[in-house]
Amino acid sequence: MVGLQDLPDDVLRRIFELLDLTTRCRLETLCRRFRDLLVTWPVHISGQEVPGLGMHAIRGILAQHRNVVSFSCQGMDIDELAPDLVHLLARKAPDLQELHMNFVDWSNAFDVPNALFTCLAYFPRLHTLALNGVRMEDCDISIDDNQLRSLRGLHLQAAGLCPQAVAVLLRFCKLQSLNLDDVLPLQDRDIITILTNNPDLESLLLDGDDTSSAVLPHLGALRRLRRLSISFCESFTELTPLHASEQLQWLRLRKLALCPSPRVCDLLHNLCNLTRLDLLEGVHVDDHVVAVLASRCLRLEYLVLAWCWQITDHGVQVLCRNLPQLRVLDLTGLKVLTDDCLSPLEDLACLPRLQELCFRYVNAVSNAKLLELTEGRPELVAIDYYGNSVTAVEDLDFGYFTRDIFADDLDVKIAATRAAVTRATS
Amino acid sequence: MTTSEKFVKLRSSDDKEFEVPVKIVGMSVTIKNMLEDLGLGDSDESPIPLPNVSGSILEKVIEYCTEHQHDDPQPDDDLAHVDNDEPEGFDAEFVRDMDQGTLFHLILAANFLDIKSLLDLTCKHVASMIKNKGPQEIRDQFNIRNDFTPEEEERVQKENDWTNSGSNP
Repeated sequence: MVGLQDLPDDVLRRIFELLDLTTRCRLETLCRRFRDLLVTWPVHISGQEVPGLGMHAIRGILAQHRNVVSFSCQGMDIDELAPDLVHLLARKAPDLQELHMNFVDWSNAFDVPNALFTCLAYFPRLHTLALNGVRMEDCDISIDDNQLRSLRGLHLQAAGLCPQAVAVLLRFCKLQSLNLDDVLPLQDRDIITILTNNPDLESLLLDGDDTSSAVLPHLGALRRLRRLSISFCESFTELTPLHASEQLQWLRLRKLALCPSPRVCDLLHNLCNLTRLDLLEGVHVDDHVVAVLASRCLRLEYLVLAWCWQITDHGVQVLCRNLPQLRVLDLTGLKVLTDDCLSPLEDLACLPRLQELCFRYVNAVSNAKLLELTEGRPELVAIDYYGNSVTAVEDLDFGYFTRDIFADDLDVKIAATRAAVTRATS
Repeated sequence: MTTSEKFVKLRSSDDKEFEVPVKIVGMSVTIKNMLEDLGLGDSDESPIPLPNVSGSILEKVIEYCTEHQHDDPQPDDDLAHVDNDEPEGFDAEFVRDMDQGTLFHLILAANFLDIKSLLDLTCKHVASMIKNKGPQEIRDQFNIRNDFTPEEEERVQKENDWTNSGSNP
């Protein structure tokens, strides 16, 4: 009789491709052919994919497999990671292409003083490196320029950089994706050097706390930039240098406090390719800005206008009538809104793809109105004043609800919220 | 069915003949290429021999292709990513309760005849039979022979023992 073992290699590969890492490792114990096929397989070790993955399992996987291409401690118990993990990885997976070691205290956990230097020195083929929330101290490892050239993605959100690390940061030249949000102590001139050195940047997250208008022309010069986030834009009074960045698809400019409405209008008028936009706490973001969005940014799918409290019912009506692709609309804290703002949505042809509508801290929009809306829209999760879904019988804790439009797993989170609401509705 | 519709004859390994509309056998890239290369199937040509496929399996293949004849052609990207969605409707019924002999013969036939959607469906079904099962269960289910030396086995068991608990020692 024909069985699993009689299938040719390419068919077995097709089947194995559909299996998770744990199941594949189980198959390796069954016969030589399965083992030989699977031990050369590209392996992604991630605590997110295998819940509860600990050091014992990591050692086993590294011992068996010759082709570990990525390692992510996300989802792992960080305190359980052994001090020799980094050395083990360097020995068993020197060709590692992707490494995520976010929020690990390196000097405590691995007895290596500087995570950035260690990773660059140990893994010369690294393509993506994430050290979000990692603190670094000066060390005596030296990095030559070749080691900096393979890196395309560097994520250092909320990392603490030592002067040496800042100096290395200024030497990268091939970066396409860079996250420097909430990184101290970077100066304007550092940021400008980094932007000038990396003309191929496609995704960039900056703080803005220490970013002045002087950086803007250098951002506008990045012709490949698709995703831009500046989390504190309090010092910007105008945005003219960004007008030419019409290729932008994701944009987050939070806390535009000094930038008057016409300047915001002028910018958005030029950005017709936006699919995600977050203008949280845009003090002067008003109905004029909304009108520009509704006439120019027709591809928008995710729109966060939380605490842009100048927007009125009329503005929201205009949005509802004109953005056919919109899936998420966050109007948190727009206190002047009333039930009237939602009148266009009685027509189900308005915002047909809408999945999330958030009215947190908006007391004049009634739950009755939101409930009425969800009746014709089974896919819609409507969030009320208290941050709960209006359809759920129990309170659901969504945490701080404003969506991170730059999150890799944004759609997964939206689907999970939807599923939780569905469960709590019955 | 229009009278002008063309038919092709197929002959299975056990000499059973099937007359099938060209549109339906055309879902097999292998047969489609044969027809194009050889100019076969123009009229009452002799049947195309399929020495790797038995009559009962060919019948299953034709049943599947008849159901899917109006589908949009899938992108031809060889070993590319297979989506992980659960099969529904006809597809779910088609593989449900299928005995292993038929299933694996069908996989071999889909592979030989190069019918990607059928290969995907059957491979996905096998994957679902493997998932969430312990090693011994998988071994018993598919009758997999252990050909490791005792030393090899000890090592491979030790290094993969975490898959049994799914967690730390």
